[in-house]
Amino acid sequence: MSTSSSSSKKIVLKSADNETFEIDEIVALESQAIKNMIEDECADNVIPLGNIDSKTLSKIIEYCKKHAESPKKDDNADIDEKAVEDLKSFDAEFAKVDMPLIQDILMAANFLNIDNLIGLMCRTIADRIKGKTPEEIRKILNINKNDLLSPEQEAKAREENSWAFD
Amino acid sequence: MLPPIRLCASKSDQQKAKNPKSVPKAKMPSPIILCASKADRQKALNHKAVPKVKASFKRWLDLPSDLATNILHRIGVIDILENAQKVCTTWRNICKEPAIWRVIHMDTAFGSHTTAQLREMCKNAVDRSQGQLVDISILGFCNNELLKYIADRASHLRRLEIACCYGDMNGTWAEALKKFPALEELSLQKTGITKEAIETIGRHCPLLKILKLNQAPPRYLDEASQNDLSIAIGTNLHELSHLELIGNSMTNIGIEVILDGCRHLESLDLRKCHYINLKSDLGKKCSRQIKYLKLPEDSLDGCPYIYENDEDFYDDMYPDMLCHCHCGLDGHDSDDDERWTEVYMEIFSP
Repeated sequence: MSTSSSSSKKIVLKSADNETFEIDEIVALESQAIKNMIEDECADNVIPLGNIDSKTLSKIIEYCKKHAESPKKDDNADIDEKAVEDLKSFDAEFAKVDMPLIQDILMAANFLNIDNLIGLMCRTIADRIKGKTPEEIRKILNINKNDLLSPEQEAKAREENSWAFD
Repeated sequence: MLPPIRLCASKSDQQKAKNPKSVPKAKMPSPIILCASKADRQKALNHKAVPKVKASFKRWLDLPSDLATNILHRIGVIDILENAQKVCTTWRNICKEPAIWRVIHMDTAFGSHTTAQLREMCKNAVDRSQGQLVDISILGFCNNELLKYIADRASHLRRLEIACCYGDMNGTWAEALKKFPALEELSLQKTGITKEAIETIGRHCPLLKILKLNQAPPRYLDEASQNDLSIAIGTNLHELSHLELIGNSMTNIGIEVILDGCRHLESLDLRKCHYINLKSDLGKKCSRQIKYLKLPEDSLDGCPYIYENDEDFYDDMYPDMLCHCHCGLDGHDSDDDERWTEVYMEIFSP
């Protein structure tokens, strides 16, 4: 793992609200999508992300920085336990944000194709809705009221859950 | 001020020299523009047709289905069936997709359902997979009927794990295993199987590479049959690469047959196999042939279902049940099965 990246190439990301973020290329490479663009020589040094706002983008950069700095698992069989723990607690702290921001980060991470971050956000959402009733889940995720099950569908769902009547 | 944005510039504008290496691309699962072929991507970007993710951020319903699938997988079968599928019509539709049900993992340790209810849920999940099921784990509530049910509906199954099934399933195994021609891994924890079933695997599951038959060490040893399983494995399963036989009653005879028959074996777990003696040439042969070897006295760390004090536990707490569970005596019925699982839950639940 190189730490000499400070002198390496810089990439500039530009958010939907026209804020620019200059980051080391190695940080940007955490995004598989950006990596492919760079490899295909398809990116100039400014990459516009017209669908990601600056608040979301800065969170994503924070995540990518940390993960780019961290030793990768396949570098060495006996990975530094402390580094793994450190990354875990970083992830846990990182995910302590409100649901709208989590959704924004998830969609953006999906767009940028950052596998670990997609997993972290999905896990966070799953943890928050696990064991909750449908009504509670709707509230947590702010589900559109227009999409509720019709009474017929409700009845059908109950019928399918035959185990509930044993 | 930054220079004007110019993505996918003409060839001459591209700074080739900065990217001399061509690294193979990782697979890109999401069908987003940045992942499309170069030509497509250029076209899309030139037309400024980047998808408007932001517009749909707050509309949970528009969550790409692979992300919804990812989340649903993590909340698990029981939560999907009981709650998630009733959240809204979008989720209800996603929960009907067979792809969601390719992997089914169900464990009695969570929730408050009876084993009978869990079996019904499991069947429902198997139905929803519409034959696409590839991986199923049933921890604590499998029985003959459920195994048959799965066998008739999951011909693409690659991995089967059953744990803590104390009923007698001996009659079902051979029939069921014939119906899993794609099986690559069979993992039985505290769940009995017969030598006939192993022979069936040899004939009908040519892809099986991983076999785990882990038990608490036997309390009553039947010398006449103590090598039955190991001999059946060595004579029938020549393609195995990973074999766990924790608590097996075999002697050196059994292990010799395994070493001679399973020439591709890389890892072998012999923890709690108290009837073998590796302080001999056989021990040397083992370490020569096997890359990852676990010895009878090695710690049970990392083994989720077998415990150091298993024998004491049975002796002290449930001597009558032990006989039933371990010897596979007749007279088993589903009530006993239920009772035993509850006992087990009581003791081992966190």
